[in-house]
Amino acid sequence: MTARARALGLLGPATALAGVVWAVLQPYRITLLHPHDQGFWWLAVEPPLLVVAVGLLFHLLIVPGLLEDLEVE
Amino acid sequence: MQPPAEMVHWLFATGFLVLGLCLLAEVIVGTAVWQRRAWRAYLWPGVLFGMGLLLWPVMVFFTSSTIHMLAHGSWAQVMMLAGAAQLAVVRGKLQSPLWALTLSLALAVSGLAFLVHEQNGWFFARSAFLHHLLGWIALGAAVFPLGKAFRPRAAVFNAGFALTVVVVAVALYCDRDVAPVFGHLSPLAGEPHR
Repeated sequence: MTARARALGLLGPATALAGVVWAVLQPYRITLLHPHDQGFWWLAVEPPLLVVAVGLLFHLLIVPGLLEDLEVE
Repeated sequence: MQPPAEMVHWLFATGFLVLGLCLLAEVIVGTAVWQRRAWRAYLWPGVLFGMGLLLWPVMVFFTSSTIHMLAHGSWAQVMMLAGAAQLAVVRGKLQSPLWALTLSLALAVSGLAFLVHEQNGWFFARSAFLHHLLGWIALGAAVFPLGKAFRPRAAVFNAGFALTVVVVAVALYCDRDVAPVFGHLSPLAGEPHR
């Protein structure tokens, strides 16, 4: 595996890991952990979870095709 | 049933994070590989254009003064212009690399708008600090797409632009309603929220 492929493969997991670390450092940002008396938006928009989701989706949806094309190149 | 203002910042931060990851990936693999699949080529310019479009409802529903409205309106316009120009470049309708100047314009206008519409000092509250920070970051980072326009293959300009977008995402995620910054919170800002 080339350095480029390795760097590409790290982008998504590193992003998701940043979200997890953030959630551990500031658990009060995860309103799902204490959902009582929370409105819709406070339950729907939880920044650390958004970061994790972006990292995972990027890794699962974009990276595989990019790695294939990089190999062809 | 509008979301609180800080959540709008967080949602835009998520958009910027997607944008930043796509730009970083393009820097790593190179534009030729990134654009090998059509949907991927249109992805980040489309996200940029879409975010510009979404700034219009933000301008309508979340601005509390004329200067806020003008700032958000100018962001919407320059982001849509930059996104549309990049979409046209990908499509082949526009050929010149100088169209990257629209990205530079977007950053410069955004930076100025951030700085002009923030009426308080750096340490008034967290939102004031972030406005100053984001304004200067955007203004300074306008140099990256400027360089990209004249030297499109220079990795430093492409990487600098991509990292700028990620930093903007981080700064937007830091936004809170009324919160201190480095222990500072002006009594005029009000009671800190969660």
